[in-house]
Order: sequence, then structure tokens, then C-alpha cells
Amino acid sequence: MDKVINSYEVMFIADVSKGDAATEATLSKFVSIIEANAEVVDIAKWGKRRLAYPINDMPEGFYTVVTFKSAPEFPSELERLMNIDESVMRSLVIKLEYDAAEKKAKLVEVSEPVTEEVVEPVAEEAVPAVEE
Amino acid sequence: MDRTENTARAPKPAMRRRKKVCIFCVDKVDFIDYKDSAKLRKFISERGKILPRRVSGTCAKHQRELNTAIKRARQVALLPYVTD
Repeated sequence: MDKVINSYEVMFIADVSKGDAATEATLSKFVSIIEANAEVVDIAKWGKRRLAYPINDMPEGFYTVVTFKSAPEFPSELERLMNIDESVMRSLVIKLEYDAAEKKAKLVEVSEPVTEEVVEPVAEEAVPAVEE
Repeated sequence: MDRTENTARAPKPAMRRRKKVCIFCVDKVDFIDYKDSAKLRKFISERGKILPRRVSGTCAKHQRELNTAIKRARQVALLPYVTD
């Protein structure tokens, strides 16, 4: 049987109360865990954000979103590790219904030519139209 | 806001026929992202409750996906559970 590989996405909120170095440490810790067990597609660091409601009496946290492809056993293990670590305030692992790598490749393809070609002519046309 | 016209008992029944279209169907959205909290905010009330379909006009399929997206966003504190 072929090995099952699925796309997953994990979002976790790291504690910022113990300083930037501690936040960075938890971040790199989990990124290296994911890298060791899965193929990382994308890492998005949202940075420090206000929470919609306080978690553990903290008003803000450091958001990170990692998209990866792995075997189905790994996400539950990752969830377990994040629950143990006290510097992770909240985590959410979801399975993606689409192939993460394909979607990313498509996004890059679409966004590059469109922004360059479409934006400029619109701006040029809009100016004479106002003058008339 | 527009609904007040409809709920007021209008003598002309023909006026009530304005059909709402699902925003997600119009945009051909195939996956509602829980990370897009700005967009999800349009579908929650001031108190933080999820708007019913009869208010938001979303179709059954997208309302289901919207529900999971909003609930996920709540878990990671992107959206509030309640606002008083």
C-alpha cells in the first residue's frame, strides 16, 4: 500500500510574557519538530497580535501558521507536544482538503503576472476618463 | 438593515420577492478560511453570535463551512465567543 500523505495546517499562539528570546525559542523548537517529521510547505509568522479574548489572563500572543505535508500519525503527536508545552497558549491543527503544495504553486503563478499587468493600465485609463 | 422593509407587513406581496444570493457562491469560494477574521466578522452579530442563514443569505453548503470556520477562529482567539 502506498504511504498516505496529507496536507495539514497548524496555528499556534506562543506566550510573549517571558520576553522575545523565550518566544523565539518555542517557535524554533516546534518548527524544528515539524521539519524533522514532515515536509514544510509554508511558514507564516503573523507576529504579536491582540487576542479576541484573554487566554490565561494574557491580552496578546505571538501567532504562527505552519503548513506541512505528512503522514496522518504526526498531527496528533504534534498536538500532544503542544499541549504539554506551557509556552504554547493555544494551538489548532487542521487537515486541509486540498494539496497545500499545489495551492501554493498556483497562488504564486497567479499573483505575479496579474499584479504587474493589470494594475498599471487601469491607473492610466482612469486618469483621462476623469478629465473628459 | 434592508430587512426592515421586508418584515414590515407590506400590502403589496410582489415586493417581498427580493431573493438573497449567497456571497460565497457569487465569489465561487471553495474553501472558507478561518484565518480571514475580517471577512468572518461580517457573519457574526454584535454580541459575537453566528448570523442565521435567513439574515446573511448564505446557502446551506457555505453556511456549514462558515460555521466551522468561525468556530475554528474562536478557538485560536481570532474571533470572540461573546462580546458584551
